[in-house]
Amino acid sequence: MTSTVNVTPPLRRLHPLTPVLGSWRLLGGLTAAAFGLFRERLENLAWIWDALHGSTDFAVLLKALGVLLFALLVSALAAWLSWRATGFAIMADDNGVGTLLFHRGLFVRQRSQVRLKRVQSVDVNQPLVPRLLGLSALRLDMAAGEGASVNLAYLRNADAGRLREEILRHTGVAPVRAATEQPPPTAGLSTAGRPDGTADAAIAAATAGGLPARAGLEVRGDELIAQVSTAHLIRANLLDGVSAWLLLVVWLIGLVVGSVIWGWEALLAAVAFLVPLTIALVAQISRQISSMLKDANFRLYRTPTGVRISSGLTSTINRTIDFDRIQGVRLMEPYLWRRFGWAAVMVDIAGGSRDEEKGAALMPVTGRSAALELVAQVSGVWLDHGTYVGAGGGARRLDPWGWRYLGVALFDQGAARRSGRWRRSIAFVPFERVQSVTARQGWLQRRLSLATVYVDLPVGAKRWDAQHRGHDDAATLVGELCRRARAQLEPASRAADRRPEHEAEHQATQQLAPGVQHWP
Amino acid sequence: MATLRRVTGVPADALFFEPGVAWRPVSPKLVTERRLPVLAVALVGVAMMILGAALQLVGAPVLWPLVMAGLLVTAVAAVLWFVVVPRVVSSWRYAERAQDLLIRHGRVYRRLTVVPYGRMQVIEVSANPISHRLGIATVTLVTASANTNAKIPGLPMEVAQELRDRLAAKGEAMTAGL
Repeated sequence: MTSTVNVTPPLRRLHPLTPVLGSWRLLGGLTAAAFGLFRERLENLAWIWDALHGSTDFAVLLKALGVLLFALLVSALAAWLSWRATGFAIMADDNGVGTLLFHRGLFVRQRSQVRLKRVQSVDVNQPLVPRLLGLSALRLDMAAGEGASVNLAYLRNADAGRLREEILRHTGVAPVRAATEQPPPTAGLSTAGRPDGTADAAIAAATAGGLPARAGLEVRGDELIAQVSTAHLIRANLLDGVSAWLLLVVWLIGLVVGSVIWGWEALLAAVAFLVPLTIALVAQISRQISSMLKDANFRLYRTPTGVRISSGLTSTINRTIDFDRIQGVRLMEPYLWRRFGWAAVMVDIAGGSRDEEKGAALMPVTGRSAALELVAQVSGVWLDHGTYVGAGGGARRLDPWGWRYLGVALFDQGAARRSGRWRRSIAFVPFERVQSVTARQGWLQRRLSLATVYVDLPVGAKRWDAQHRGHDDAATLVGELCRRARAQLEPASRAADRRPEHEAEHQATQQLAPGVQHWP
Repeated sequence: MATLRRVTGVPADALFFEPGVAWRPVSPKLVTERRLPVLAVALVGVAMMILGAALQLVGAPVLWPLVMAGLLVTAVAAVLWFVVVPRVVSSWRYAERAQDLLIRHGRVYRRLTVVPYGRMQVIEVSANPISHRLGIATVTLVTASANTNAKIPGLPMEVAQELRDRLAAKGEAMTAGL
């Protein structure tokens, strides 16, 4: 932070509708509080009915409405004040290094300076209501994790798009890394399940301007390299969660049959009895539905330095990922998908929020070959070309189902591991991301002379593991991972500005006394 | 290898006892520190026994189960005191190689961590009041990964500081980021 300009540049404000959108949450809280105050009166809901028909004192209702109105005013005022206290600006110092200033907070004032070079991914999100109003939120993820993210909510779509491009100009430092041995991606990366020409035609139509209006968020020059049709997404999701859906059907049939035979009381008893099952089922199904909503309209674009994902039905996500910010890539193949030759690709990015811990979907579902090609695009490695060394028969005792599928392959750029009897996955980690290597050996593993090797990756990326390797094998793997990770260590000059933000990247100063600062 | 086996009591192998590496133990004072919680458990056991016996003498109804429970707690504490704690502490080893730091520990559940010097972000030397009195400290290596568990407890204070300075110098020379 040495080169930071001391003079605060003029701050830009968020969209004036932000306080309105933000005050709903506060209003909710205040309504709850009001409800708590009037609980005795409200306990018997009949009085509302009575009040409306003039048979009890109307004054109570008026009082309640008054409190509600007051709450609305207070929350609107608070939201407006906090909107006034929020601002951001992008500065560039003499060396052209960009910094984002972000000031916020009414009582606890927070001033963040974000080095744009350290930004891991840039998202433009549109929750449902802001989307209807033509607003979106710009979110910057930093390697330090959720606490360090900056969420600029809300901006006009066009402003958000412009701001994203401005930020990306400062972050995009990496040269384009393409899979060396292969032609450009458009040929193979078509909508999976439609190997005929229709997919390409659809993409052509889409790029030609057939896209629904997301004005301002579309970036010219970004090449659409893949998209997923809704029907395909739904089929894939149903297949993936087929056990949950089957369970639901059995459960419903059981309920109906039970209620017919034993009457409604039995039905109630059964529901109560099956509460844990019901909860699990509802959770699974809602997870599936939300993932479907999230991945609907999935489009993948190629940007000069990375890829951009755009997806979502009710709320849309628009996320830009530079190739050199990718910490790991995973190819997932659930059991039933394999019959159809489908696969999904996930990427790990440093930082990111908790709900994205499983990684961002780079491709929710596509054909296996297209998925492999996509992996090659982002990592430079063809995962199917490696020689996977199996875990050996010793692993059978500890993993009787999946031991045959455990395997590790070393590439020039990184290591890949294969696993999973039913839900097969290949995880790839670039050597340059390896932070440390850990070998672990439990009591049973020791009896069998086996050990598990882990690669520790930056926060936000899933830990890479090679399960149940033989002793010598594990020793070789540890040695090799460390040796190649060291070989990838960059010269100090380049590293200096890419060091994560333990030191300086994201300085948030908090002060309880607002008067001390010269702002606003 | 034979010496390793004799020293540590666990079979040597290439993975956890890489040959040709100068493994260093931690200070035996760590045993004292780790024994303190065991002492608390033992005191509880003894207190239970005394209480049981005293009440029995006064003429309270059957209290020998309390005495037995106290005996059991004391026995467990004794096993921890004399066997488990010394063995666990003596399993901590670390080694500085040219390019990376190795840390291993555990007997039943063994763990080996390798941290390339270039990946170190922060090196911490910390000591709680008890270890401070004993003159030992813990050196913790922080990388960008939350999963890295590279901690060496029970280093004599001056050894810890020397190690920190050496690591810092090596890290400075080989730093790389994310």
